[in-house]
This record gives sequence, structure tokens and C-alpha cells, in this order.
Amino acid sequence: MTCKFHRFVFLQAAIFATMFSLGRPALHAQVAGEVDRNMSKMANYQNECAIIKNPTNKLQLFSLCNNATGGLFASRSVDGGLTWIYPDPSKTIANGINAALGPAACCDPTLAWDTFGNLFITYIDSGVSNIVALLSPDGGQTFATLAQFGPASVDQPTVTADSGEVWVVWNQSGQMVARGAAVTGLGTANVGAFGALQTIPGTSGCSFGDLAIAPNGAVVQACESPNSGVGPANILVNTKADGLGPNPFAAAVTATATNVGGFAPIPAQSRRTIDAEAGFAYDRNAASPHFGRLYLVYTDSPAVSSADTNIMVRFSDNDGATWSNPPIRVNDDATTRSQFLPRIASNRLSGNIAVCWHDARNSASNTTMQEFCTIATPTGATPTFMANALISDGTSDGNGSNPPVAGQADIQFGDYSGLTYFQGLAHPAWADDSNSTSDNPDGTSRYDAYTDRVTGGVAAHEGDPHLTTVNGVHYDFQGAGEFVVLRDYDGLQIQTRQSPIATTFNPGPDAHDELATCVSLNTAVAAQVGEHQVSYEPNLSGVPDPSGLQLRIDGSLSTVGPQGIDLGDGGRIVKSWAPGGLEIDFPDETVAFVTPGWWPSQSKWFINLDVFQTPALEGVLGVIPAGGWLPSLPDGTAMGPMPGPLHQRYIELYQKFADAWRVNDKTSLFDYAPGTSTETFTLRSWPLEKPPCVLPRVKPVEPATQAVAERACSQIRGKNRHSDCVFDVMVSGNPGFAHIYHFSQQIETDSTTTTVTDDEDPSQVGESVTFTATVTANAVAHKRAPSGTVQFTVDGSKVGEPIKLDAKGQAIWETSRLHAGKHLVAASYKPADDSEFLASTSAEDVHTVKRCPCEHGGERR
Amino acid sequence: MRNKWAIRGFIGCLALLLDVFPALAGDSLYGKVTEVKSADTVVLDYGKGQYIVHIIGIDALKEGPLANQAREFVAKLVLGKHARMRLGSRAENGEMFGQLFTDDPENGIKDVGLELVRSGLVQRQKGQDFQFGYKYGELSTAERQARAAKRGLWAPTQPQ
Repeated sequence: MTCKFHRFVFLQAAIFATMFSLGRPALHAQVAGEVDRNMSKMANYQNECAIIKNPTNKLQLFSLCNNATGGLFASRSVDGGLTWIYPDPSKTIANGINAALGPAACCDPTLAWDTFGNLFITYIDSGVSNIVALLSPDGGQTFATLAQFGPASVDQPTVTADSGEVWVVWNQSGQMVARGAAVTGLGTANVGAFGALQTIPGTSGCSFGDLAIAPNGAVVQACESPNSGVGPANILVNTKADGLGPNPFAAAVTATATNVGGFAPIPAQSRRTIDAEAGFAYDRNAASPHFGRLYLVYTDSPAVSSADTNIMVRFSDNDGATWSNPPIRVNDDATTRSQFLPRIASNRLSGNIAVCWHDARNSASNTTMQEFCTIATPTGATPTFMANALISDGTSDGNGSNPPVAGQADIQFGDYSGLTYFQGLAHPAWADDSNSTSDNPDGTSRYDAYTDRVTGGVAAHEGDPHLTTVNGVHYDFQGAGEFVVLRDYDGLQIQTRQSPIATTFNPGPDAHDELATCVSLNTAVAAQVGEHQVSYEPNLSGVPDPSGLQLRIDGSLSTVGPQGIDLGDGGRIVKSWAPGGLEIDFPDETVAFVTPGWWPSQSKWFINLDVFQTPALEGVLGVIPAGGWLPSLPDGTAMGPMPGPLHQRYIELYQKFADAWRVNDKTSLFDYAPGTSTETFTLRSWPLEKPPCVLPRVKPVEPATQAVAERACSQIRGKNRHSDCVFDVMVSGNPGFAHIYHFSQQIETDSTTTTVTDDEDPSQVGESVTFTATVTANAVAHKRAPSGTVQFTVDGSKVGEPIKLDAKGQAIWETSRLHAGKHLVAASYKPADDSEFLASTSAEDVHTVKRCPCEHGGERR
Repeated sequence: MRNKWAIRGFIGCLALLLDVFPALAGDSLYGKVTEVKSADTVVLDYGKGQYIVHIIGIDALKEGPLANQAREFVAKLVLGKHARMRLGSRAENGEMFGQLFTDDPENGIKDVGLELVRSGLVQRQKGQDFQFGYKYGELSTAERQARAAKRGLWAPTQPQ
């Protein structure tokens, strides 16, 4: 035994030594972005970007920005914002050259995308006397002019579409006005005539606002009054409760006062100035506890002319009639520097809200900005925002539109930034002159239009069990039974089974709460993935089975093949890099890695669960509210501050909190042998508060010395993970824990995601189609793309030789030889020999090849 | 006067060298013009206060008969009338740079800067083909029209 153990440690150390190198990316918890994406890569500057995501297709985005020269910069993505393409080679629309791209534009683009698939666009025309409304029925490839409102003295349009309505609001001769139309389907033929101009009462001298449509069809607009001066000002809100009905907008309600006026200079935007930039987002998820809640984001400061501008949120549960008080401050910095140009968006599937803004907290002179974001869950009575996350890779100054030449107009960053949020990913858009992507044709002298993909980040449930919440707090949770570890209101749920372990030794208290209880092990995992229930647990018979865990989908035993198991809507299961490990992809972009290990002496399986880019914020891995010590309870109630007495902490954690998050017979996602249920695996008295940690008819495990544990865990990095590993090896005497910590560590730092997109779908027989495989690192800290090759497959068979990835982590396969019909195209990434990245396989891209459409109604016979 | 044009021309060339293309977009502010200080500078009373507004995109003479004509041209369009400023940017002293539009029943909506260039009473800023709000060369077109019609600055003989 001793010899075997030492041999194992030696081999393990050797493996680790070869697998790890210095300079690995730091681990990131909480809200996180990926590498910045330069959408425009265009000479001169682009700023004031709007961005929108198709609410029925998470892969489709469209962005529209001001452009220094003719037209508006326009780009679209068909791979969830990884890459950006253009509707026209000029990278513009409304450019005064091609009438099919809309009447010539001045500026101020806004966007809306409804559930019929209509992409609505508004902007001011080149004469600054018309608001133009376009409609694109195909995700921003072609455009039709829907309406022109004018000629008149117009400015600041906003478009929004939902619930069978499209509304445009703008400022006309100093007064806010609006027009709305019914929408019954896709395309201009299904958009009714716009109704008569609605003058919005009480809004003379009011501007810079936003517009939202409630789930019940009510229309709400916000504007700032007065729209001039350095402040103070009020954010006024008007509601049209009957939507497209005959009643007018109601009288203005003051939602909030603000010290940031319409033309308020701050050091980071001293020439263009800022306004409060009020913005709306509705909770549109019927399952959310606050369905129909309207959130308002705006900018405020402690005093008029103060540069300490902050991002604030209030909410209304009655479509703007009354507003929450006091407001919630979103930015969590301790500085007196500026936060400005906020944008808010809600994930209509979950009710989560994202807020992004320009932030000068890291600028000693308060003159440069970085893009920051945060996310909040709707569960509690008031939203609790996660720690602010730095999203942009570079730092931008206010000189990207125009150098500060006396007498010149200079709009600097502009008046607004963009944000869209759907199905787990938020996409901010901003003007950036850092050239952090090294592809700005103007270097650092002019803004390009930048974006990023922002998610909830990393959570972990490892060892016996040490938890890292989605907002990065590390604590031990030793309850015995089955628990909800993560859930969201769009249907995602992950549950774990924790089994008690009899021990004779406790290495010491948890650093988070100082409790030194008995311990448990995570022994099974279950999940709701879209419409399917997935469980991965030991043989249901109860007989120890070292051959592996059993995977069940909707109760049926399943085996994962090379291409994985497609669960629909983006959900799938594939084998991970670790032996017996699974990668579970959820429709909302959450990725969960399940890494099992076998404990021979105890004949038990133990499991590490590591979750990436999840928008799920609730459960025992959920967000811990500010000032709290544990995640909130299922009803959103905060657990409050940590009690002083250790015994009280034990009671709160293992009775109140643990019992609240236990599954029951109705909510359990596990599969059970006949005659068993979740109660079979529940031991409410566990963990015992103090040793002896005994269980009936179970021989306690023998511990290992600290020296042995340190050797076994010598290559496990990170303060928490290393100490967790040492703890687990010591308490269990099982160095195999180090093995799965190693797998989890490498998955967290080096795992990848591969996606495949096509340049058009459907295509015609004989037509050339380009498939692009993109490999991205899951760890946000990786700033260079994975290297290696990808092997494309069609309908499960390899096509051609492996193709080398370019510097962007992309490989292209072009073919014109696909037969008519539907094909499943996928790509498998194989890392380069000297690459630290891990292999991954894409989901299958469904591509349809049609016969020539010119004959017989589209099908050649 | 020639020196002033030369200086402005130099600034324009410098701006061109710097690849200066002033920005787009704008925030409209409405009010009454209470004073026309010069052809390119007015006082806009917006009810809650006043802004000194410099019309962007043009180079106006500061003295001489044409300067007076230009000032009177602007006064006729906007003095004592409702008007709109589209903010370009703000100077450190709080003065504004932007487009100025008429917004009254008599004149309707006219871009004062563009009308000035078209009248030949001012020049467009050199090197600024893509001006704030004029990114389709509107100012150049207006100046060509003025030159062709030999108006104002482009007339064969200048008023003494």
C-alpha cells in the first residue's frame, strides 16, 4: 500500500510537472467577459452604438453605430457575437449611395428585435429633419423603409418592439412625441400603419430618454427634464396603459431626481458632456417572481457639477406609476471618480438584468474609461447586483472622435452605449480607442465599435464539498442529502447529492465561517437541460460499481458517443477531457463539467462540479448578497450577516439554509431505484457539529498526514483549491482527490468551446458554402486564441484533412459538394502539441442544401 | 483680414493633417435667440438659462462690411425667434459649439450655418469636408453654389 501510494504520488507529480507551466491565467469568478471583439475595424471613428440580439435565436446579433463619414456603421453576427460580418462591403447602411440600404443617415441609431423576427431600426436622416424607421426581416441582411416621420425639428429617436407592437418615440421641437403600430408577423406586410402622432404630456424641454413595452402591452417612456444645464434635473415617466388603444399617454410622473443635468461635463467627457441617460428594462419572464417589473437605470451624483457620477437603479411594479426608493447604487467602487453612459437590459428568459457602463474608477486623473458590467437576479424583493466586473481589455480616452481642437465640435464617446442580454450572454457595445484588439486601422487615435460576451462566470462544487459561489465566495457545505446548487428562471437547474463520510480526524475549520464540522462528499449530479432531465449517479442498484457512473436522460440509460448527445435548443452532453467526465451544455450557454473519481477503499464515487458562464444566480452556489454570508433562500430572502456564535452559524447553515435548498420528491431530478427516494439519501442531522464523525455500521476512513497531502496536492494552484485539496486528502486519506482537483483545475483554465457556423443556410446544390469553426478558451483570462487543428465532419464522417487554426482560433472549410437535404456539420478541436488548451467538439450545425429553386416551386424534379 | 483667413486656413490644413473629422449626433436644445454677437455666435435663451452658441462648420469674418452683412443675415433668420441648437461640444468656459437651426413659423427649419455658406457670406471651415452634421459634403456643396453664383465673398467686387 505504501509503495503504491508513493508511486502514485510520484507519477502524479511527474504528470503535473509536465502539464503545468508558469504564467497560467488567473481564475475569475463572478461576472466575466471574454476577449473584446472589434466589430468595425474601420478607418475614422464609430461611436454611439446600439446592439440587439434576436429573441428567438441566440446566435444572431445586429449592431448599428454612428459613423464619422457617410451612413451608419452596421454589422451582424450569426455566431453569438464571436465574429462580425457586414450587410454591405462598405460596412455601412443608410449611406446615401445604395437606396436599398435606407435613406441617408445622420446619426442616433436605435434597434429593436421582436419575437416575430422583425429587426426594427430608427435613426435621424441626413437632413436632421426626419426620423427614419427601417425593417429587416432577415437579421440585418436586407432592409425596407418602414416609415419616415417628418420633416420636422427632430432628435433622439428610440424604437422598441414587443407584444405585437412597435413604437418610436423622439423629441420634436422640444417635446417628446410617439407613434405606434401593430405587428402581426414577419416583414413589412405584417406591420400596420403607424397611428397618429402622440404628444406626450408634460415633456416640453425633456429628452435623452428611453422607451419600453410592458408584457401587458403598456408603453412607457422616460426622458430627462430639463434637457440642458449641468443639473439638477428630473427623470420623467409617462405611461400609455392601453398600448395601441385610443387613450393618450398619462401625465408625467417624476421617477427620480438627479444631479446630472442634460449637459453635465465630467473630466472623462468634458467637451461633449453627459446626461443622466435614463434607460428601461422589463422583466418579461412569466416565471419570475417580479414578472412585469420595470427597471430604470440612470446617472446621479452627490451634488450638481460633481465628477463623482454613479450608476443608479430604481424599479416600478406598476408600469411606472410609482418607483422604488431609495435607489440602488450599481457601481461598487470606493472612489469618487466617474461612472457614466449606463445601459440596462433584461434577459427575457430568466428575468435577470444586466447593467453596463463607462467607468473611470481606475483613472487617477478621472479622464479615461473602461467598460464595466454587472448582473442581478430578480428573486429578492430588490435586485442584488454581483460584484462589478471589468469587461473591456483596454482603456479608452475621450479623444477618439476628435482631437480637442478649439472651436471644433467633438462628441467624444457620444451620448450612449449599447447593451443586449438574452439566453445567458450580455453583449455591451462601446466606442473604444485602446486598440486592445490590435486591429483598429487608426491605432489609438479613433474609436472603433467594440463589444464583448459577458456571462455570470464560474462556480464550483468540489471535494467534500468546498463551494465557490457564482459571485466568487468560497465556503464549505457539508449537508447530507440532495440540494439545488444552481437554478434560474429560464429552466436551468443543477442538483447534487451529498453523502456523509465517517472520519476520525478534522484538519481544521472552514476559513469562511470557522465551522469545523464533519464532512460529506458530492456523489451524484442531476440537471434540467432544456426539456430534459439528466442524472449522472452511481449504479441505482446500490452495489458499488467502479466501472463508471450511470448517465440517464429522462430516466433512460444513455451512452455518450463521439458527437455527444443533442438535447435540443443548444443543450447537449459530450465527454469531457477527464476520464468518465461529462460536459453538459445548457440552452442558456451555461457549461457544467462533471468530473468523477473512484475511491477504492470506500467503494464510492466522488464528483467535482465546475460551472462556467452561467446566468443562474440562485442555489447553494448562488449569489451572496452584500453584507451576507450565504446565498439567499429560494424565496429570495437574504440570510443576513453571519451570526457571532459558532453554534448559531451551524444552525443557520445546516438547518435553515440547507433545509431550504433540499430537493423533495416533486422537485428532484435524480433517478431512483424502486423503493428509494430523495429521503433515502437525506440525513438531516449531518454534518455533526463536531467530531466524532461516526455513522452507523460504517468504519471511519483513516486520515493522511499533512505532508502526504501537500505532496499529493503540490501542483494544485490557487489558495482555495490547494487548501481544499490538502484538506480532502488529509481528512479522507485518499490522494485520489488530488487527481480530480487537477482535472478541474485544467478544465477551468484550459478548456475550450468549439462552434461551427455557415455563411448561408439554406444553400443550393452546387453552391459553395463556407463553414467556419471557431475555438475559444473558456477561461476569460486567456488573451490569445487556441492553436491546433480542427477536423470537420459531415453527418458524422470526417471530411478532408484537419485544418490549422488561424491566429483568431478559426478554421474555414469550403465545399460545394453537399447533396440535397439536411446535413449535420461539426468540428473537433485538437490542440497543438505545445498548446495548453484542451480538446473540444462543437455542437452540430444543421445545414440544408436545396435543389435549384428556379423550377417547380423551388424543387428541381 | 487676409492674415485672419490665412490663419484659419492654416488651422484648417492642420486639422486636415490631424485627420480631423468632427463628430456626428447631437442633442437638440430649443430656445429663443436673444442676441447675435457675430455671424457665428449667438445667445440662446432656453428658459432655464442662456448659452453662447458658436455655429460650427464655418469661418466667419470678424470685421468689415461682409462681416456685418453676415451678422445681419443671421439676425434676420433667428433674432427674437425660436431656434434649435444641436450640441456638438462644450468649451471649458461653458460656451457651446453646435449647429443652429431656425424653428419658427416664418422660416420653418433651416440650417443657419449652411444658409450662411450658401449665401457666400462665410466660408466653410477648410479641411472639414465631413463636418458635424454635414457628413455628405453639404457645406462643400453650398460653397460651390455660392462660388458659382458669385455671391458675397465670391463676388467679383467686395463692398467697401
